[in-house]
Amino acid sequence: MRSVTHLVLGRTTESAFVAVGSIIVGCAGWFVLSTFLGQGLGALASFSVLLVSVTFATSFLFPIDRAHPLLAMATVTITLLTQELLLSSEHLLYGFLIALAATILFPLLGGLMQKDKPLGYVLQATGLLFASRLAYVPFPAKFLNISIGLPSLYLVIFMMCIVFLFVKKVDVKTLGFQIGKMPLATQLFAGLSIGTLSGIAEYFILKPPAIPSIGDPLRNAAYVLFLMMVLVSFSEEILFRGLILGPSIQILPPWVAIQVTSIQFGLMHLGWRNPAEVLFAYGMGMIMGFMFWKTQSLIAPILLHGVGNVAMFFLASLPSIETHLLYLFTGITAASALAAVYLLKRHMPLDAWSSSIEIRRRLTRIKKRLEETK
Amino acid sequence: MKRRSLAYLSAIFGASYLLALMLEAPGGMAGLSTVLGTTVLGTTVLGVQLVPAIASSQLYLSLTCIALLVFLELSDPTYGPTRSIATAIRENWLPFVAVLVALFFMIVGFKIASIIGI
Repeated sequence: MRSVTHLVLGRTTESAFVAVGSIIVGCAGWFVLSTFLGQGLGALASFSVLLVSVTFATSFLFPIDRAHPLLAMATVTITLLTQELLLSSEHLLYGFLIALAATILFPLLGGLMQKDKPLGYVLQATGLLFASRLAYVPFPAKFLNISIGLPSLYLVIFMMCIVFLFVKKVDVKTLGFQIGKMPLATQLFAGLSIGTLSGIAEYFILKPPAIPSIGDPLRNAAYVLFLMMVLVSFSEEILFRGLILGPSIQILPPWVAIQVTSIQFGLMHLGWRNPAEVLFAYGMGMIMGFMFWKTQSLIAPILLHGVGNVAMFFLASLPSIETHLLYLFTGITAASALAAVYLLKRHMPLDAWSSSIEIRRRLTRIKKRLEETK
Repeated sequence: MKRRSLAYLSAIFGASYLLALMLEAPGGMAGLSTVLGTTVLGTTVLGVQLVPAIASSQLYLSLTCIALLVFLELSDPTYGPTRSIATAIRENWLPFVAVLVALFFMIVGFKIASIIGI
C-alpha cells in the first residue's frame, strides 16, 4: 500500500498527507484528552500528539527499505506518550499499569520476531524505557520527597540497565564507553561548551523557582555534581543513546533513529507540563543522538547532559542574577559552542550522509597533503 | 573482560551514589531537571494521588512478577522439550524478570522496615 502511494504521490506528498492527517487527529484528540486528563493537560497532550505525528511524518522523507521497524517504533512512542500523559495526570495508577504492561509486552513482541533479530533486540531494549518508570514503585511515598530519593531512583534505573547488559552479554564498548571516532579533546570541549549553553537555554525555558540556599554551599554543589554528572547523565545516556539509539541505527536510517529516540526523550519530559521543555528536550536529544552516532562514543553526550543540568542548577541557585553578566556569560558560551560545532565538523568521519561537496573538499585536502609529503 | 567493565562501571556509579547519600542536600534541590526523576516527583498531584497509586502498583507488580516466574519455571527445558518460540520469549524476558524480582524484594524490604519501624 505504501509503495503504491509512494509511486503515485511521491515521498514529499506522502509526508504532507500524513502530517495533515496527524493535525486533524491531533485536534480531534484534544477534546477527548482534555475531558479525560483534566487540569489543563489537554493542550499539552495535543501538542505532544502533533509533535509525535510530525516526527513520524518527516521520517517518510528518508529512504526506508522496510516500514515495519518504523511502525514498531511508532507503537512504542505512542505507548510512551500515553504512559507519560497518565503519569502527569490524576490517573497516575493507569500510567504505572501501562509501564508494567509495556515492560512485559515489548520484550514479548521482540521474542516473537525471530526472523528479524535486530528489531527484536530493539523492542526488547525499549522495555527498559518503561521499566525505568517502575523504579518509583518499591519506594514508600515519603521516601521520594527527600534528597536521597532521587539518587536511589537513579541507582535502581542504572541497575536495571546493568542487569540487561549482563544478561544479554553486551560489551560496554559497543554501548559507547570508548573514545570512539573523534579526538577525545574535541569530544570533551563539545560536551562542555554545548552542555553549558543548553543549561542556560533550559533555565530560560523552565524559569525554575530559585533554590533556597540552605546549608553548606560547597556540600550542595558536590551533591549536585555527583547527582547530575554521574547518576543522572550516566543512567539516561546509557538508556536512551547506548541501549536504544545504538541498535535502532541498525534497523532504521540514522537520522530517523535519532529522531525517534529524541521524541521519546522529549516525551519523558512531559512531567514539567511545559511544551517548550518537551520541544527543547527533543532538540537536545537530536544533538546528543547526532554526537553519539558520529563519535560512536557516549563521552560527549554524557558530558553535555551532565554539564547542562549542572549549569541550570547553578543558575537556579544564585540568589540574584545580574542581567548584563548573564548575557556576557551566554555570549561566551555561545561562542565556545560555535567553535565546538566547527571542530566537530572538521573531525567528522565521512560516511554516506556526508555531502558530496564535503567529500570532494576532504579529498583535495588529502591529495595536497600527499603531494607535500612526496 | 565484558563483566569486568560492567563491574568498573557499577563501582563508579555505586561510589557516586554513596557520596550523594553522605552529602544529603536539602530536599528542595532534589527533583530538578531530570528526565526520569521529573514526572512523578514534579507533578502537582503528587501528594493526593501518589500514595494509593504506588500501593496498588506494588500489588500489580508483585502479581506480574509471580506470573513471570511461573512461566519461566514451566518453560524450563530441563522438564522436557519446549517450543523454540517459548525459549525465545524466555530469553527475552529474563532480564526483565530479574528486574521485577529485584523490585519485588525492595517492596518487601521497605514493608519490613516500616513494620519494625526503621
